Amino acid sequence: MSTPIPANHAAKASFPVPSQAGIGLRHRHVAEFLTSRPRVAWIEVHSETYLAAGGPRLRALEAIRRDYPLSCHGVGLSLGSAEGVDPEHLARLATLYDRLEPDLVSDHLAWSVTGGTYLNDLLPLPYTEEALDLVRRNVERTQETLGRRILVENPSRYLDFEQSTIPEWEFLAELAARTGCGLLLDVNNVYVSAGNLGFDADAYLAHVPAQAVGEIHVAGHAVHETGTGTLLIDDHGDVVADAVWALLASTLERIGPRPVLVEWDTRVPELAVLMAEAARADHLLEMRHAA
Amino acid sequence: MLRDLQAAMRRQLLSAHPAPPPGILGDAVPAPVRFAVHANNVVGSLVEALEAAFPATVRLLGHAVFRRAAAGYVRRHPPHVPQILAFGDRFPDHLDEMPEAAELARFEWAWNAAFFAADAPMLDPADLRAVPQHRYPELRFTLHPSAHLLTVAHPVLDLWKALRHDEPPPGPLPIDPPPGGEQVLIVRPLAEVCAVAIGRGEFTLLLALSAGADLWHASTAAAGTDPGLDLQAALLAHLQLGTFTAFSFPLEE
Repeated sequence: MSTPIPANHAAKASFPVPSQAGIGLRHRHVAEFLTSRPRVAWIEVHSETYLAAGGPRLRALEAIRRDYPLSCHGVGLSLGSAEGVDPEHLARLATLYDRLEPDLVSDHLAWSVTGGTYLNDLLPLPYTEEALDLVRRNVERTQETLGRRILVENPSRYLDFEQSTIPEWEFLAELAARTGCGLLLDVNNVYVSAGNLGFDADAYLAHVPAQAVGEIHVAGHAVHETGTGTLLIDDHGDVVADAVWALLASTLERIGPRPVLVEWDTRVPELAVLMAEAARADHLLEMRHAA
Repeated sequence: MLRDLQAAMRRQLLSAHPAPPPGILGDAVPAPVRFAVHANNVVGSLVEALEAAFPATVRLLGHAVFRRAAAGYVRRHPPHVPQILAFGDRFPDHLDEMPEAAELARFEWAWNAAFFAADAPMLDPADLRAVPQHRYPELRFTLHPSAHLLTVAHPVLDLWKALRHDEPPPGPLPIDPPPGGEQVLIVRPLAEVCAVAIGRGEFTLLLALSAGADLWHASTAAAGTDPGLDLQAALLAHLQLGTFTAFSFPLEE
């Protein structure tokens, strides 16, 4: 069963944000955005950060949003919850989205809610037929309630389960095919997961269905020596690694230009640093546009 | 079953000594080390959320003490909903063994609630001037949605102001808290949160009005706690501050 999506919403959600670099709007930079409207093609915020009845934080975003295309990136829908997506949380998000009218809405292939507890982390799922059917239902429920298509992002993986039988790219491709959802392809997460779980990042990216990808993320990660081996930690606390830029270039080469977001969440530097990262992404996009 | 796996993972992620549930693969990096990344993310990110919500309490206690208390709270009272701004409502109670910090945290939580409360217009005093004086006793006032009335045993307002600007706390605090404690009104009529100490009579007046009492009943109750209360001056002060958003008469409801 696929989700019926109202035509106008489907049309609106197919690449409404320009295929240029955007940056994640963080509290530290809000004042600068309000006063000087920096030259950024689009912005993305974490939806749950704005789940308030009112107040200056929401007002500031509303003011900024008038001048920039906006993507609302959720971290709390818990699309992988065995108990289903929480209708109350969906209602909270629907209220927020009515107010902000985002051009893109996304969340992750992960879970964070079980037994009435929210764990505030993007926790891994075993990739099985059971999980695929469950996430399909949760995505359908979300798209029905919000009345729009969402993008689902590949998470950073630190572990895998014995039960997993489906490669992640195939899981996501099937999910997109069955629900009509789009994909948010996080190239840094592919790199991090490939390093941590020992698969080939290029082979993964070669299999991602190009037409489903509505947005791309890049970010910095940390390298953690455990004593017995290396883990890459997706901390969004540094510049994008050269290897990840290379993956972005080859991905754009294969699937064509897309909106590319530069994410930075820990030790957030001054805006100029993010703008320089965005310029680097724009350079790769321009090369692809010219090709 | 996925449901069982998720329940088992939750138990371990919130445990002080997390162990991976069966079925997690390991290699050069063993399964417990991999699982620990998520356990650290869960507790660490929620402790950080509390640090962001209670910055003055962090300064009062110091990072190490605060983080220890916060980690204990996260494990005992993890959030129920993915709304991190609402996480921490019971944290002040969790600090009860450190009464001064608990009161400061109570104040900070009310400050946050005011900051994120619904927006509403300030009552325009010109509208009130149109009301004939003989009807004043029947007046009911709607407090601004951000208004919070707080009684604290320790005088937290000066402490909070000093800590907020990263100054040393103001002198040694009185060993015996003032009788009846300190009454505080926190309200955010526009963009700025205002926190002011108010008299006991004023506090009773606002509390009664917020519970729906008319001005006559509210002022009678206020005079009971503070016979010297200047009602007119108090009302004027709160009209200027933006404590009220509307007024009404019971018959018009």
